Amino acid sequence: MIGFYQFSNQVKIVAGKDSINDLAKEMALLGARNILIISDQNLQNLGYVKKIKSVVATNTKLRVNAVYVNVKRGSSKQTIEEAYTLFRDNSCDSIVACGGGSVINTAECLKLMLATKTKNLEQVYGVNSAVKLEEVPFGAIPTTVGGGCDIAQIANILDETGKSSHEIISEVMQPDVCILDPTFVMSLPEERLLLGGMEMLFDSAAIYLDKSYNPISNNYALYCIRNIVKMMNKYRQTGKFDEEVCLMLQESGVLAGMAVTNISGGIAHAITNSICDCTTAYHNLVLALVFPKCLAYSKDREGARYTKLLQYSVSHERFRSIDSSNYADAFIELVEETVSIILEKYNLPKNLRELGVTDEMLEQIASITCSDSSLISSGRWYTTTDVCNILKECMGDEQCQK
Amino acid sequence: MSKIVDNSVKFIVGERALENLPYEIRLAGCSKPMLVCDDMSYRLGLKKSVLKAFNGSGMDIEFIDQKVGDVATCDDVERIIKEYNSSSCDCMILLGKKSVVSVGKASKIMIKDGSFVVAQYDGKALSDLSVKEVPLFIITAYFGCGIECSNKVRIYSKDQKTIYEFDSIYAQTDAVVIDERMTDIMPPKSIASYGLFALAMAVDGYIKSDERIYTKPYSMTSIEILSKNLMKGILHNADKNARKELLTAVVVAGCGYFLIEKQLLAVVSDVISDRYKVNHANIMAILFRHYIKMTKFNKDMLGELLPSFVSVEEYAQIGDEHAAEAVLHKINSLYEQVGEYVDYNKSLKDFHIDKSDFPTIAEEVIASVDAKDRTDEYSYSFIINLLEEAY
Repeated sequence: MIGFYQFSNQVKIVAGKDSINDLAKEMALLGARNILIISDQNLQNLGYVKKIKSVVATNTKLRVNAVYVNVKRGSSKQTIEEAYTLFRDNSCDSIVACGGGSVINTAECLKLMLATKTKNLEQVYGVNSAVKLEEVPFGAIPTTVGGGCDIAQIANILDETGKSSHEIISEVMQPDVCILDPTFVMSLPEERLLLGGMEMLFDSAAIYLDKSYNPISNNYALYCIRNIVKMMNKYRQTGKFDEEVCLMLQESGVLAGMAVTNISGGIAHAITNSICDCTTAYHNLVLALVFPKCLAYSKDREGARYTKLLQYSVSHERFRSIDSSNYADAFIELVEETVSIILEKYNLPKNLRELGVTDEMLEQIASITCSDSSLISSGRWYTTTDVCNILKECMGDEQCQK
Repeated sequence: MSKIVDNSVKFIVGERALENLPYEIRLAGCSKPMLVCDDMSYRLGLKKSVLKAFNGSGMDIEFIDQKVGDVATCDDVERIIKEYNSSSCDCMILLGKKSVVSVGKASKIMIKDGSFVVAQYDGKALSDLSVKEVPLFIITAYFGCGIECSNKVRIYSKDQKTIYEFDSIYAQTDAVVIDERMTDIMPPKSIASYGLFALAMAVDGYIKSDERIYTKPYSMTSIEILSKNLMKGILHNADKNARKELLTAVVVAGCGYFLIEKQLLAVVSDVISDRYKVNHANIMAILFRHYIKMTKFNKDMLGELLPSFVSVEEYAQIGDEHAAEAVLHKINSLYEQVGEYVDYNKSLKDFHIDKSDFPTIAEEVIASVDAKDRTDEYSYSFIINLLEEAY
C-alpha cells in the first residue's frame, strides 16, 4: 500500500523529579519575558501558582505580569476571551499553564489566537491551517494524568450554553515545552491516577485500531501500552504511587499524546466525548465504561488487530499460554477485568445509567457521536443504530441488552 | 536530573509527499525557499522532480545551490550563508547526500547567530538570541543518511585535515519529506547496506538505556519495517512501496539514534570513515554485526524487540527466556539473507582498511569523547577486538 501520513511532535519534554526548576530556563530560552500564568482556583489554593512564581523569579529576565485562575471544568469561549484580555492588558508575551485538560485547553486556544493574530475565537473552530505569525512561548505543567491532552493538537471548548463543545485542531496551539514533574500529580487520589493510566491504555489501543496507516503512531501506542504495564508492575511491588511510578504514568501520557496527535481516537472516544458533552462525568471514567463494549461490538471486523494489543498488554509467558483462536476474546476479557477491578475497588459507577445517562439521552448522544471528529477521521463507518446498540450495552440494563 | 527530549521534526511520508512541501513551508510562515542540493541530485533528475512539485503551488524556489560535493566543507557553508542572505531567502530545502544535510544544518545554526566564518565558530549556538530563524526542510534522497533529524553535524576544512563539529538544538529540522520518487535509482547493493545501517541504529538505539523512552518507538518502527521490507526491496527492486518503507526505516532509526548522546558504534564509524574516506553507513553496518555479540546489554531490553522482528505465530513459539537470543538470531539471519543475494562489502578488509591502523583508530576514538562521557566500552582492548572481528 502506498499511502500518505504525517507524524510530528513539536513539544519539548522536560521530565523528572523537580523538573519544575527548569521552567524558568526553558521559558527564557524560548524568548519569554512577561508571563501570564493560567491555572484554576483549586490549584492556586494548593500553592502551585506560588511555586511557579518562585521558580520564575529565579531568572532575572522573566516576570509574571498576570495570573488567571478562573478556569472552570470544561474550558469555554468566555474563559478564553477573559484570558486573552488579561494577556493584552498586562503586556504579556508568553504563557505558562499549570493544570488539567481545561486549563491547558484554555492556554492552547489563547496561544492559537495570539500566534495567528485572530481576535475572534470562532474563527479558529474546527480543523484549521492558520499560519503562525507571531511566536508566543508557551510552557505547560500538567497536574493530571490522561491521554496526552498536554501535548496534543486538539482542544475542546464549551459553547455559551455550556452543553455542547467545539473542537479546535491546529499545530500552532501546542505548548513549546511540557514539564513533567511527578510532584504535581502525586496529590491526586489513587483512583484518578489509575483511571488516568487506564485512559492512556485505551487511547493507545484505539489509536492502534484506527484504520489509517501510520506505523510511527502505532509504535508509540504499543510502546505506551508496554510502559503502562511496566508502571503497573512497579505499582504492585510498592503498593503506592511514588515519584517513580507517577513519572512513568506521566511519561506514558506523553507517549499516548504523541500517538494520538497524529491519528484519531475512533468510536470509543467519539462516544465518550458525546457523553461528556451531555453529562458532568470525567472523560476517563466514561471511557472506562464505553471502551470494553466498543471492543466487543467491533470484534468481528477488527478482532484480528486485537492480537498485537494483547501481545503488548500481557507477559510473554501469559501470551504463550493463550490459544491463538482466542486472542481477541482474551484481550476483551483483559480489558473488562481491569476496568471492573478498578470500578469495584473505588466504588465508582459501573455503567452509564449509574453515571446519570438516561434512555432518553441515548439518541442525542448517538447523533453527536456520529459527527465527532474522532469517528469521522478514523476511517471506520458507524451508523447511529450502531452507536445506540453500543450505548445500550453500556447502560448495564439486562432488558436493553436483550 | 531531568530527562530532556526535543524532537520537533515532522515526518511527511508517502504518495505525493513532495507536493505537500510548499504547504508546509507556508505553514511555517515562509515563502522564499533556498534549495541546496548536490550534483548527483541534478544528474539523476531529483531536483527536477522537486521543482515540478512546486509548479502550480504559487511558490517559487528563490535560489538554487547545487555545488555541494561528497564532503561537507567550510567553503560550502560560507557560500550557502552568503547566497541565503543576498537572495533574502526565508527557509532552506535540502536535497541530497549526508554532505548536503550537514552543510544545510551548519548554515542554519550560523545564520541564526549572524556568523559567517566556520573557522571562527565553536560549533555551539552563540546564545539563545536569534538574528534570523531558518526553517529547515529535508527531502530525503537515495536512501537517507540517518542524520536528517540529528543536531550533530561535521564540517571539514578544504584539505579535510580539520573537522568542525556542530552540536546545537538550533540545527533541528522542521520537516522531513519521504517520497518514493526520490529512491528510484537505488541499486540492491545500496539497499542492503542502508537497510543494515538502519538495523544497527534501531537496535543500538533501543537497548542501551531506559532513559530513551521517547525515542524507542522510532527503533520499533524501523525494525518492523525492515523485517517486512528489506528482502523485498533487494529482490524486487521495482517495488516502490518497499523502497519508500526502507527509506522511512533509515530516517526514523536515525531520528531515534542521533537525538541522544553519540554511541561508541557511531564514533568508531566516524573515525574510520574520516580516515579512509569511506561511507559511514557501510562501516557502521559492518561493525554492528560483531558489536552486538560483544557488547554488554540488558537482555530484557533486547528481548522486548522480539515482536518487532517476528510474526505473532513465531512469538508464541519462543519462550520468554529465549527472547533476547531469538532477536540476536534474527539480526544474524538478516545479515545472512542479505549476503546471499547481494555482494556488498561485508568486512573492513573489503574497504581496504589497514590492520596496522587499528591502534591509532582506537586511540582516536577514545580521545574524541570527553572522559566523563566514556562508557566502559571506550576501552582500548574492546575497540581493538571489535575492529579485528569486523576485519
